[in-house]
Amino acid sequence: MRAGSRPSGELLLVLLLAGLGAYTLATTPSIMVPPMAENAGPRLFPYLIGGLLVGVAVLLGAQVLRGRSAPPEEGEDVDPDGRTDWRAVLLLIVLFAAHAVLIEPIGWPLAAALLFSGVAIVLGARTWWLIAVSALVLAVGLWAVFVFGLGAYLPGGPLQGLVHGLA
Amino acid sequence: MGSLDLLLDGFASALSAQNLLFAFIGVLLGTLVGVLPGIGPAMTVALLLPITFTVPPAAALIMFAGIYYGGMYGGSTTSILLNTPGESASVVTALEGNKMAKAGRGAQALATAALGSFVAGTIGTLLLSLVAVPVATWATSLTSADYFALTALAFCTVAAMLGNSPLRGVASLAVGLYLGLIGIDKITGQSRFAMGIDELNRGIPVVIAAVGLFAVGESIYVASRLRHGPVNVIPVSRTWGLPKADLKRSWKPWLRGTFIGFPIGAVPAGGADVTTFLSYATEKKLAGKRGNEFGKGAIEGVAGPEAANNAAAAGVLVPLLTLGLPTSATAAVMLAAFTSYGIQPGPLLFDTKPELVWALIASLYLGNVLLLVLNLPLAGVWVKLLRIPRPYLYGGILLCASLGAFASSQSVAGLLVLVVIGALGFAMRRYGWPIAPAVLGLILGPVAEENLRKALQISQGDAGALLSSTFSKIMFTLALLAIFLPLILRRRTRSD
Amino acid sequence: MTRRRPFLVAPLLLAASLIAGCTSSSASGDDSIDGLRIMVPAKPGGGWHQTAQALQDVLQREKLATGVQVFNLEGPGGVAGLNKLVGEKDDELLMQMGKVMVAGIINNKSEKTLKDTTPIARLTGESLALVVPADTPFRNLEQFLTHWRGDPKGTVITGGYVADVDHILAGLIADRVGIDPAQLTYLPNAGGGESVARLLSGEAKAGISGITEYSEHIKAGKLRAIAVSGAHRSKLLPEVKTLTEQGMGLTYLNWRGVVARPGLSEQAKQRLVNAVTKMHSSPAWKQTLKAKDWDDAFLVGPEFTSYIETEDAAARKVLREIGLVN
Repeated sequence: MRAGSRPSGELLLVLLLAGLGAYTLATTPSIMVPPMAENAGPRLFPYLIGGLLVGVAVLLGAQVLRGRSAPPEEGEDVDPDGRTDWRAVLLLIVLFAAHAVLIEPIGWPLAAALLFSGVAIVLGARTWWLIAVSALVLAVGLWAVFVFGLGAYLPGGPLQGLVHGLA
Repeated sequence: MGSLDLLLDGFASALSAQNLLFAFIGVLLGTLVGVLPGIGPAMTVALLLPITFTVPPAAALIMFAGIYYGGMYGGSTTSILLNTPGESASVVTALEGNKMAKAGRGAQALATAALGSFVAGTIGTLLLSLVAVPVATWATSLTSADYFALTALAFCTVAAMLGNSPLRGVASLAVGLYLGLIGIDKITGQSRFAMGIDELNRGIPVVIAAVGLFAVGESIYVASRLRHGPVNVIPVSRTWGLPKADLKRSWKPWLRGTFIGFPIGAVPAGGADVTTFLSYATEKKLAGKRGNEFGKGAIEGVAGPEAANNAAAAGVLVPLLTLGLPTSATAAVMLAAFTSYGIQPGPLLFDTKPELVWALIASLYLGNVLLLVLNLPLAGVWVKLLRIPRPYLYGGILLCASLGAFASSQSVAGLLVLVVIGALGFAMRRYGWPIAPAVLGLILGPVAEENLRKALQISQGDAGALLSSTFSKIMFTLALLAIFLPLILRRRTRSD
Repeated sequence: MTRRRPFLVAPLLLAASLIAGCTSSSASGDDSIDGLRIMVPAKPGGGWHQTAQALQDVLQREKLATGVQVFNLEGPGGVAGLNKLVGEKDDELLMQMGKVMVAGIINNKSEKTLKDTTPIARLTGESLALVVPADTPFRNLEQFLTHWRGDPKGTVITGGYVADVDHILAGLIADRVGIDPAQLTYLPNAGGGESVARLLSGEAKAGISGITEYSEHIKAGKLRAIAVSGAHRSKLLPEVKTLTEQGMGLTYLNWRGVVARPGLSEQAKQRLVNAVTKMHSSPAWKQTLKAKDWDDAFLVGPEFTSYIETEDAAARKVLREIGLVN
């Protein structure tokens, strides 16, 4: 345990937990209970979970305030002593959300290629042609496998027209 | 028809061209994602869940089981050859394995890991074939109250045993349980905690939650503190087998690991991680005069935990198939695969779908053989994968995350939910909250609620019914032990 | 290096799916519907899903449609699917529905109802079965009813969701045999198949659900069927008498059909109606009905629309009697 490694951020997470618990306890009474489900209705379990959320938040909050934090998760690509790069975090979230919104207008393959390139650049890739080629190959390849091979539904955008034109 | 006949039929089915091909793809993908950092078997199965819409059940489940077993093999390669600690199930392997590799004995470490995995996987599968039917038969008598007790035990053990901080395990579990509440109540049709968002009324699908917490969360986390500089892979020569001296030192740890791993995997008590630590501690204790080699590259410290790991993987399939209860994240996602075919694993599975279960079990035997072939001579090929530049790797992982999530949810709103859960997954990692309890909470929460409510409905509101059977009393006692035993042990070690 | 991964895996997956026979393209005639989608507003594997798959299969085999996709959008009573359909603009989209949805809409107090859709056709009807665990003494309906009358609250009846057809039939039977439907102790499950476990563990005394949900367990000797709800006996359970045969003037069929989005042009509607009508007269469909033991309940056009209205009124009445809605 590395004491004193900035507990303030974790406090936000704990507050979120407490907030979820409070929200659960506050909205549960408004869940409608059908007459036949009086003994075991849809409110019982939410009350239990709401209580658990608030309880854990209180205990964990006390721990965090006393400066007892857990080490961040380890991983092969993670530098345990590095500082959190919040810019990269924010960029990745924005990139993914933008990708989601773009799927309907420009089709999955193109939106996915943009996502791939964006993530690669944020993480430090700089070889432009390699980024572009791998993005397109991966996105179009996986799209084709899932749509034509596995029968999944993924909007093709302009590619759909192209494929139909060829067929 | 006896189990043996059914198993033989299972082999006939598993050996069909289609199923064999899917088994092969499964073990290949499994090894691949086991080797690659940032992506594991649970996430891979979650990403591939959409194929259940089109591929026949046996083929898809055989592939998923291959990914599951393959991930266990591949994980050891990474922890032995990469100079950093990996994911929790292979942390122990890295302790000795990495030291062996640095001392130029990487080939032997890989070989004992692969052979140990094969021995344990095969014995584990054999034990699974033997106990599955008796357990399933016994389980038909379990009532809703008994099932509720089982889920309560699973919650307690998972939260208490995973991660460095039990309280953070409970917090993660609570997050998962909350996510499981969202949506329309399955039994009465009432909307709960959807905050007026239509997408949330459908509930949070397992795919979205698993892909969000694992893939998206992990990618954001890695991006937040990426290890810069070249990837430090220890080179290794081609491995064909194990020298006699090493074999002599390995076979007992393999067997001990197997018999530690399988039973612990089979009880709903937190999956594979615990068993590797137990096996490591056992080998260290039994090493005698070799004890001083531990920490410097003792082969027993690789052989035992790797075997325990794989035997536990087979053990986890016992409650999954016979009770419908997943006890690890991968098992939880596999349960989602079953249910997306409308197949409910549980006591009746062996009656209603014998051909499917036995084909699945037979495929596990075959998968182990395939994995041995893939891993022993080809270790060098897998090592090359470790050198993929990280920007491209994580770009690809996020792209796959979008693919899996969109193909299953069919909606942009689903992807936005995915981002939110991904951000949550990042925050949890950043502050050392384990992820697996959240996934289990999401999946087992609704099961627990349903059984709790059924039990109360039958007893007409009498809560005493929850403790009416001997079985449920035992389960609740174990659950209490799981919570308080670690606390007591910790206090004792602290006062020493 | 980066490109190794897709190149390694993609062709394998593609090859696998080809072997699995999943490629959907085939020669398309002029009047066939290209890219038809069928939404199943429930989880896979259930009755709606099976009906949609049968529809997909026969439509494609008869070349009435190509590239037919079946997808699921789960939610109790199918209301989530209904809401999605109402907002759709796609002319080549059918939603699988049935009697369950009529009651589901009422029970979930859904703002959107089937009036907001374009009814296309009623396709099948399925009889329900009343079963008891094989180790209980009840051999026929009368023996069970005697027990039930003696202890209405303590006799747990199980089946599918709340307000599902199973639940409603339990209420109807109770009403017919002089038990106050409000006294019914009904143990709901997420789908009729899950009720089997509750019967085998001895928690429930009787179960009501689709015959196909129970037939395997009846054959395996774990459950005993004591009545079927249709007008005639089931081909799957030829020895089991109907409710009517056992002196109860009650027949009950769980029908299933398809509807399309609201505001469909007359031409687009006719195209869908023509496709299912042609499908209905094909031998392949007759064979499917026989294999699945479904009754032919084909009904199209205004007759189907007014049938839905009758069903709605009937369902409201029963749900009020069991005390589910006020």
